[in-house]
Amino acid sequence: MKPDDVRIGVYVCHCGLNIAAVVDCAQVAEASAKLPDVVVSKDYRYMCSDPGQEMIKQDIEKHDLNRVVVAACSPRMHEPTFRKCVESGGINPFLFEMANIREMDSWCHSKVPEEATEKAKDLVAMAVAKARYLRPLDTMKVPVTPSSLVIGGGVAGIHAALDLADMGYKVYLVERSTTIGGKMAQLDKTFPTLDCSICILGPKMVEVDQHPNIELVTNAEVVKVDGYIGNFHVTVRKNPRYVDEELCNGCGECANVCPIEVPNTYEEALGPRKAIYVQFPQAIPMRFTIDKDACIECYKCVDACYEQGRNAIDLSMTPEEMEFDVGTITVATGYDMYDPSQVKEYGYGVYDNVVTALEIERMVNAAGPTFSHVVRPSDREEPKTVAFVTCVGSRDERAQIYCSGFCCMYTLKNAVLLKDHFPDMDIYIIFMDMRTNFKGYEEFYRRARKMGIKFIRGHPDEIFEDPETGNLILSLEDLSAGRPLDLEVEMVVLSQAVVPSKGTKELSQILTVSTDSSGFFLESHPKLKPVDAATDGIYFAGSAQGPKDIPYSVAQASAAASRSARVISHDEWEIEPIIAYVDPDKCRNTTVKCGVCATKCPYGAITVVEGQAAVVTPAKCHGCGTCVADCPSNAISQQHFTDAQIISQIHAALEKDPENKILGFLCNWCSYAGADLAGISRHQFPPNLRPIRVMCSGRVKREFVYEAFLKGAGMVMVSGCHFADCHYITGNYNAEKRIKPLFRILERAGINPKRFRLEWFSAAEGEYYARITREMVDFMGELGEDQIRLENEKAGPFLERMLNRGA
Amino acid sequence: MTSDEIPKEIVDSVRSRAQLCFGCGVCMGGCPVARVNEKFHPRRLIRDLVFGSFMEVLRGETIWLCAQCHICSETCPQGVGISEIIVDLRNLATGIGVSPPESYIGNLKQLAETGRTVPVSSRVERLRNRLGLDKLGPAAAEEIRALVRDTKFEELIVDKEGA
Amino acid sequence: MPEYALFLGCMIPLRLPYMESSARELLKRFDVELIEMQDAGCCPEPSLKSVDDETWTALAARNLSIAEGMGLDILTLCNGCFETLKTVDVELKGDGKLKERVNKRLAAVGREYNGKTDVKHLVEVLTGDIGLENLADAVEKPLEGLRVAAHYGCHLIRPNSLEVDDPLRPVLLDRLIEITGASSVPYFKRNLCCGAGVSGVDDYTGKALVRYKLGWVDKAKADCMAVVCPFCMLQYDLTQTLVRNESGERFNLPIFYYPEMLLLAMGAESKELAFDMHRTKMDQVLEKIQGGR
Repeated sequence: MKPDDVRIGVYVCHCGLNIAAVVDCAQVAEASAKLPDVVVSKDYRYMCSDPGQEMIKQDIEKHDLNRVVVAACSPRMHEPTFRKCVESGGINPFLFEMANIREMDSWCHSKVPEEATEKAKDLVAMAVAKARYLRPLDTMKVPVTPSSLVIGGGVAGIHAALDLADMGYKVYLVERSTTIGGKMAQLDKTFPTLDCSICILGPKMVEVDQHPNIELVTNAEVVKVDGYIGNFHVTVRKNPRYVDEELCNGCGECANVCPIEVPNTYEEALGPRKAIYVQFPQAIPMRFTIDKDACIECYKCVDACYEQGRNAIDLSMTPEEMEFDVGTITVATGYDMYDPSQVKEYGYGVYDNVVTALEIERMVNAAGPTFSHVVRPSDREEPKTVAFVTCVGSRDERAQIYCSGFCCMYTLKNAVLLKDHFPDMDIYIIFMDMRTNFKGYEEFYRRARKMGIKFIRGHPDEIFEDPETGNLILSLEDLSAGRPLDLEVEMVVLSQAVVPSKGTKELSQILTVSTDSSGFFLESHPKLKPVDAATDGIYFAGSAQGPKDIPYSVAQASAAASRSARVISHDEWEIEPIIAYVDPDKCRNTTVKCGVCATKCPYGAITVVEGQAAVVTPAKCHGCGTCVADCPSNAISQQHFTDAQIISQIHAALEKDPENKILGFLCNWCSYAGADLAGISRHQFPPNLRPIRVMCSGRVKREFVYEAFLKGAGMVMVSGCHFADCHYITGNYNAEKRIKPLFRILERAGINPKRFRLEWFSAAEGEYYARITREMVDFMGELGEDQIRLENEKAGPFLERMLNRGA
Repeated sequence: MTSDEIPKEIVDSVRSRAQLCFGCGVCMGGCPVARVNEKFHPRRLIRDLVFGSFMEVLRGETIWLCAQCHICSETCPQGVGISEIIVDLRNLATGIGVSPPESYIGNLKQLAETGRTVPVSSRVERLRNRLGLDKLGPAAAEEIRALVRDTKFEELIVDKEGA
Repeated sequence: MPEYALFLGCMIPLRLPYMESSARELLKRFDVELIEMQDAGCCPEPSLKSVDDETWTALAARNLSIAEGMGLDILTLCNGCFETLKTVDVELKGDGKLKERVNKRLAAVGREYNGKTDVKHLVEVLTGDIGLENLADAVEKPLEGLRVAAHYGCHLIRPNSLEVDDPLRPVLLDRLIEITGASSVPYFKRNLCCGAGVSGVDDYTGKALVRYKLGWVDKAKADCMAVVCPFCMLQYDLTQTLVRNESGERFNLPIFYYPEMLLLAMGAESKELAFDMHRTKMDQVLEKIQGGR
């Protein structure tokens, strides 16, 4: 029911020339003025600016507005800005709606300004239609747990934890391996200053250990996270060390007597460790762990520990779970190195003297397995000539398409270290480009050249091993000389690509955050929110979000800590009230056994007691809308995304020329964001699609699709996240179950099933969205308006019957 | 097509692939012909398609020097597909009247005449006999000639004088 | 063992018939039946692909349709024929519109190809249908001590879409050599093309490629080379006699067609195998092999 006296103000933003260069904003404002219930309609250069916002506030008073529509950028950009604006103008912030005429219009239809303008008018009309049905809502305030979780104890995790702990907050730092330190602990020196890596990291690690506010949980993994910003309930599984952390004092007598040696991954398998071990001498916590796969259970360590009077070893230990509450989570899970044996033509793993950068790093290190002697694995002799090869598995469409960011610099560093230790060594760096972006980096490159390191621009097509000498011949083109070159060296060091840390995919599902097309965690906005996840309360730091060097990782760590503190420094946090509520009069659980809603809810937010109406616990509801769509008696509604609000948008979108329009339902987290990205990236495609934003594809009822075709739509698309990536975990599964049968149903009704699309794509897939839109428009063109109209007319009675039937 | 102008879409479709090249020279490292003959330079060829004159490349002799071993396409990190581009260029070239190499013409004329690129000789028949191999059946040359009626092949090879 | 439609092409039956006879003999010993393809002609050769790729596709489809009509898959002995027939087959199977266009042309000669045939190279049949174990079991006189430089050629393994072996680091021919008791020696630039594709266009390049390759094979101290393609055979066996190494001398590197090697290992006498038809003398290597006997 719409309230009797709706008075809507429409504001069409130019966004400088971003919108105005394509869309005739004045025309749109003029057309919108004619819409029923619109009392004032203006266009202006920058609605989000001070004067722009002032104008809205003044109009609210002057014209007694009770709804505001701003046609501008994506709501994912400025909805919060304008909600605050109308609130300070005196209206409830949820009586505000945005029309996206930038990302979804001017930016992607820039070659067809007239059509873009028509689309803008439609988008405003849709927003106005929804606005009529908007209700004032009160934000929910939830208490905030003043503590934080940091996942990952590398340099980024360590710094994020220390910053937060120094601010006075309790921090849980959970690290998967037996010690913190991450990759930085494996390095010898860091570029460009050649600081000793463990020397600068070690003290920070000790600080973590000793900080009263940090609870360090190592050899542990996060297995479950429930809740929402301010109120995350975390379950961590502590894998057994088989050594009691309280009793062990790190004396090492156990390792002295252990008879088993296995390759030490910390030493890149170049050196051994015992079955009972610490990864490296500066390990934090300094507690031993037994590698059960290597342990032969001879109990020598148990005896040795007993003799020390500590009795710390317990081979019967089992995994333990711990649960705790935090207000925010920072993900600092770092990276892994790409397995270069996959680049078969370089012979890693086949040829003895082809090694990786981390391997050479360990060799050069004075405390490493070869005590700073760099030797060829084949004969343990010092090589007289060494070639470094960059971009192994990076910038390569057969492996990783991206650049791994810091390899140029660490290649330079390793070469400089080698040349420094072994001045007579002939050192070559084979490179395509030398990426030396930041402070001191280009100077470091110059230093390397001055030292006599030889730079050959090129990229080997293959490496061959001379079986007699173990030498390697690299075949490449010497680009600067412009001719082919076969370079023979005694050892080759590969700088291989960096890939997302193992377990990233699983963790992204546990946290319901997205990953990008390369598998790294996806930030909320690449420029303005580089450490925020799209999910509120979760932040990223370090290479987990994309390869980066140490200073960048540390900066992000502090940024993430600051973003966390921003939340947990408050006693309460406001949550959007976009939640479900049950109309007890309509709920059929009062008469028959139902409870469908509760089974669909991934958060257990709905309680169903026999004979009573279902009840939604507001704080637990995340607002996906799946229960709303699956309720067999239409008894559940979703605030701010009611059926009336959505259907009014369908009507407004298809009022004019519906046969040439595609009505698209896009989910806020993935497909709507992906569509935004298409516009941000300026992909161009025809302007036939009219988007309706829902929080989740799970919200889409079949009735919406029937209604759309009944109103004459050319095509309808329902879209959401890829499976396993749904922001609400199971929303898209439920959507698919509900929506997939529509293909057959529509066909029976006489509608070509190809006029209906079910698409799953991520926030990173702007190009995909542009492409499928083009495909859909082409298909509509092939069918032709007349055919579409015919099919729709024929299907009319069937669709009406389906709609009248109810759920 | 006999006119000098290649339609823009076709030039664009070749160029858009060549544009992917970021000049690493991996193709040069593996290319057998470039190894032994300075006249052939696949990286320069791709570069010239983007920067230089498309028509010069098309009418030039270098595109015929490629051995079509496909190492370049298999090792290219950007998926440029050099050996495929070269075959496309060759087809375009013959389409605007560029004559294919003499050696091609000889073999293909033989193909049109007998259905095979190598003639049957009495010497070979003796060798086959000695090895206990059956006489080789005919290769349906009539069928082949019927199939190539009104094709570029017929125009360029079969109808060509000499060779 | 399956039956195959034997696609002979042009080079083998009409220039290197000993390749045909040794392949036939080998396959006979493992009960692989080879049925003649009536009216099959040139695959057609790659040069046509460069001149008129539509006609090339149609002529290849004609050959494929002959095998399809026989209800058999194709076995080829030549890398060139393999690449042509398999590439066209994969293309036609994947592109319905192309298949339609090609079949319209084939209709003019009463033929049609529906994508029911597969194309295999001898190496695939040896390692797949017969299997390395069975081949190894048949070896009675292992070629111990023989150092063989394996040359796959290009079109057995590239482009990657042929899906026979790794396009840059293949292993099948090495394994085939090893089961004869010989060893496959690594040598630089193993992937290098024999140059047959360009030798007609530029004689200098063709010869230079043979020199370059054989130079590295010599450095690796191989006794001989093993090839699986008639073009590679011609380049290395025949053109070898027209070039000289760095010191101005003949290379004298014997070139085996792989089936010949395996037949020797299975106990065949060298005089049964027409080695005199090779242009580069095989005497030395045959002595080395038979020396132990």
